[in-house]
Amino acid sequence: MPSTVEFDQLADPFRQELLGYCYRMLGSVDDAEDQVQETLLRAWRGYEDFEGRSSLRTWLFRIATNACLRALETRGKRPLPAGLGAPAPDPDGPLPAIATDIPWLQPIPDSLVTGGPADPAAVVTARVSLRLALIAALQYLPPRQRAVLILRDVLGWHAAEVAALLDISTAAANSVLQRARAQLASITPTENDLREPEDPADRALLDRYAAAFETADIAALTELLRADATFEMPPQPAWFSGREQIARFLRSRVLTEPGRFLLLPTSANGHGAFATYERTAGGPYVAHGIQVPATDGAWVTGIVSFNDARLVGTFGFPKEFSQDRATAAAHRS
Amino acid sequence: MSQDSGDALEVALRYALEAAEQVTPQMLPLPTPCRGWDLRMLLLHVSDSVAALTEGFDDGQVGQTGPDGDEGASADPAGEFGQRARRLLRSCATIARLHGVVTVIGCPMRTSLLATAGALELAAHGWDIAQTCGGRQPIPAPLAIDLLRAAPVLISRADRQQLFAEPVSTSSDASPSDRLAAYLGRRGF
Repeated sequence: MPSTVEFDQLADPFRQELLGYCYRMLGSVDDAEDQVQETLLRAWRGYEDFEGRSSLRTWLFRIATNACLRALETRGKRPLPAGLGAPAPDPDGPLPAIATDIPWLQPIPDSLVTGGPADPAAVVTARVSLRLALIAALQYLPPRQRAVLILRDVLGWHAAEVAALLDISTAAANSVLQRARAQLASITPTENDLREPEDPADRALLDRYAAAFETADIAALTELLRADATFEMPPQPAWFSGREQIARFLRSRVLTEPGRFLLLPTSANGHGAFATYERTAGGPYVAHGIQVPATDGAWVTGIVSFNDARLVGTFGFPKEFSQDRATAAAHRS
Repeated sequence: MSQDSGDALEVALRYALEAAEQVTPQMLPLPTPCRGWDLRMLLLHVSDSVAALTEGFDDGQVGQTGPDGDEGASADPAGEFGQRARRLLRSCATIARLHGVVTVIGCPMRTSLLATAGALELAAHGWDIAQTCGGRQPIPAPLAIDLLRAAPVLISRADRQQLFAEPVSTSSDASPSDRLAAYLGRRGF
């Protein structure tokens, strides 16, 4: 058996790819990290049985698939609010209680999963296949279908490789894939998905969105929303659909004064995103969550505001923003 | 904001430049609305602010301290400020840069937020310089209106103790320039 240090060196090149795979399977960074740990531990313990009949990569993916399937036996699927019911009818009405008992879908920092392949096509596939809408849709597939679809259509494995991994025939693997594809309309990237993440139009749009959010400029913010835009904010199960509804909700509940929120740029699930901070009575901004606005090049089409302060740490940001650094920078002396 | 943060910075830079053009060497020891600072110190300060902003736009990051160590020795602080401000003005034209990300003391931040912070800094100190020199030009109204909206994002209570005085009250019909000056703790001088 190799030492843990030796094994870490062998397995390290696959860690990021395994994390991306487990995240797509489980819809949660926390769960994915747990299962990657579990996978590597099992692989290290069982290394003597690894006879080199497959590549180390295939062998690690087999262990990871089994680890994810086991984990999924005991927990429900991870939804977004829009997956649970109709939009709330009255933006000014009372909101239902926060649902902390629901295991909500989580966003993933791009830095954890997209540093790998240098091939531009592979980068585009990796980014597109991390889109929140797709990750949310995947959670509705039965776990084995989900695994086959991710391995075949996202990671580009051959039918025979997937069949070997799951100990089924190639015909059976193809049949599982057909059923998965039928249920999930298509993960073929659309033209919009293929735009560069650094697209200047998107960057300008998100920049204006953030400035409008920070200054509580509802009129400016509304101008950026597509007429059928959606606004979700797990763990709050209520969500809103339509530009006017969103504007009314933000005006009465969220953007009650300029400077209430500060948005720091990051990227999540292949989108531009923001770590959000909320001002406290005492002065400093405290971590509030991760906001992921989806865009179509011209409009903001949907916003998911993950109001979970812990995620801000997952994205590598501090818990508190104790000084207004922009102002401090302009004041440097 | 109703106008782009790059536009706001450009308008603020032009306003501060115009104010600084009135400065003569005899004015440098005059007291300013900034407590404890004479005009020379104020000009050195805004000059360094402009250097920090330029560093942010050009290099994508702003550190805790600037590269220059001998600023206090400048014989012509108004001229030096003018030179740096005109250089930054040329950067403002590259709007695309203002939708990027800049790392400020280790934390990523939207470049546009830094540009707005710079606009606030230059409008405030441009007003200080204009008051000190006797010209008393007001902050252009559209700029003041935009900055009144952005100021709560940029100035926390903790900052107030270090960098700005408490807001002072103004009459309801005060101009945007007077309202912004009052928000930043400045009284008619």
